[in-house]
Amino acid sequence: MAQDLLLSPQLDPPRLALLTRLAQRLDTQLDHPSGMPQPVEATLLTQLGVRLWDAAALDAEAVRAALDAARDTERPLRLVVQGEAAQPLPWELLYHAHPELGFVAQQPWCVITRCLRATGARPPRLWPRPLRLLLCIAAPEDLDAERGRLAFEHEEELLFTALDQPLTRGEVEIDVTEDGVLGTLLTRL
Amino acid sequence: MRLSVLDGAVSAFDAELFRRLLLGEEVGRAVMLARQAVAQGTWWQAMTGPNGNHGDPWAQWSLPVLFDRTQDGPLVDIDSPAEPLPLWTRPTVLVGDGTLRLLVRQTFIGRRREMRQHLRAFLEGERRALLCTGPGGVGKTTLAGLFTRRLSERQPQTRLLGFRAPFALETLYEPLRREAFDGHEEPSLLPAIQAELDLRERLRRLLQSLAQRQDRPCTMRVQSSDSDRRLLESGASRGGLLALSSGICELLIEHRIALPEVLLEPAEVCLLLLEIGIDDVPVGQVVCNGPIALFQRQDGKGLRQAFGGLPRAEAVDEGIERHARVCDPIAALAMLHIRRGSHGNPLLLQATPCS
Repeated sequence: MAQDLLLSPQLDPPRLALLTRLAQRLDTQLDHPSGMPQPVEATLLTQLGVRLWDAAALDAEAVRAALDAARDTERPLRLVVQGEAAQPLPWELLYHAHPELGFVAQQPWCVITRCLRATGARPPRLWPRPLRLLLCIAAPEDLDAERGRLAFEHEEELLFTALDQPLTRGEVEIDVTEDGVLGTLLTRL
Repeated sequence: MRLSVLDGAVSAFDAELFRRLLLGEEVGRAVMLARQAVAQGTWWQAMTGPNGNHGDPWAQWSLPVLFDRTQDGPLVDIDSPAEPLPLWTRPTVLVGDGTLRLLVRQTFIGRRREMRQHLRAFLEGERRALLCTGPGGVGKTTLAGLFTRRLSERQPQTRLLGFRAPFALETLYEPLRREAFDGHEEPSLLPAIQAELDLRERLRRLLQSLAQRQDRPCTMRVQSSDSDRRLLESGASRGGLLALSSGICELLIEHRIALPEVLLEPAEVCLLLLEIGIDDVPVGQVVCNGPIALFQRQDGKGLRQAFGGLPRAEAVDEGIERHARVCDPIAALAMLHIRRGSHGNPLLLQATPCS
């Protein structure tokens, strides 16, 4: 079982405003509605990552030690983000300048996860192969019709193409809902 | 946070995530390894070339977000024997002229707009007939196969009859008679129908007989020509051939969608050999399932037959031409990987250059 390290960030209003502003700058750089993606400034990534690290009040030495232990035991270190206000922030960019840390989400034994509700005590139920996937594609209702249209067919095709080989071998089974309505999703799960 | 994610990053992430899950990795670690694949992978190198140690220049690795409601753990039990994929217990080919197959669901991609617009109305009985029109090779039969499969899943009591246009009216009679008369009908009805001289009237009465049964029949046709459409429309308006069709929904299919490989039962596998030549010299062969055919690229008719229509054959031919010019027969062959032929569902098994 993974080793959990709870992240309960201190998000006082000025800090939250700063992090939100940086995150919005990142969003703007990541957004490429024209289809011409632009590289993201590396300094923005590290700047945001450092601020997130500070907000989480993580001890770099403790994280390094936990990562070493995770590597030795081959049990991932899970950084579990808690608190509703913290959820919209890009915790996957947590960064520390120590050469053995950097962006911790890229560490081989570090998992960053979020819990909207209290994490259940049990692991997920195990099923034999094939891996059964339910694909439900939905677009937010308030998307800009001009620049935000989601191409359902294209999204579906991407997944089927990416999983072409396991599908052919019968290792994966994909079921596609006929619409993106919540009721359909709950019925089919 | 609402972001545009690059297609290459999505594909790289999906492929690695599900590969890891299938190997029995815990979900969190599978996500982390897939994130690494995006950060370090070849998808962005293909777009920009090697980029030193800077990694993914678009920071796509940072976008996947994991939400947990359980403890972390694997999803796939790799120690227990794999469950066989559920076998389709009903026939894979519809009663009728035998050309309409019930498609395996996971082999179908795309056409979501058509499915949203038309399939639901069809499944819920608002439409009793669906008319598919479009050029050869765009996937009318495939879509009809998927609709039929969904219909049979949703309403297993429904009798399904499949006829693929163009067809002669005479070929409808016998399958309809077998469906309409199974020993539980009025004894005098069949002789009365058989005594009818007009074929169209005989068919109409057969359909009426079917409609009066508890298990509602449903006809599905795949149309490709104007004359067939006129026949259908005139039949419906006169209460003739398609008397059951209270509302006809015409579905125009214009563009071909690439389909992934289709797994067929081993018994159905035979070979289709396509030799691709540059200046009449064969450079390779493609091995598919389906009837055996061997022809040169210049054989336009053979290409059309093998790939199910002119648009598809032209696309294949263009691809062959493009790759042949750069002397890359393997690439030319590989592009055929997603093509399907008109004879059943050809499956590309291998593509090898001729010596």
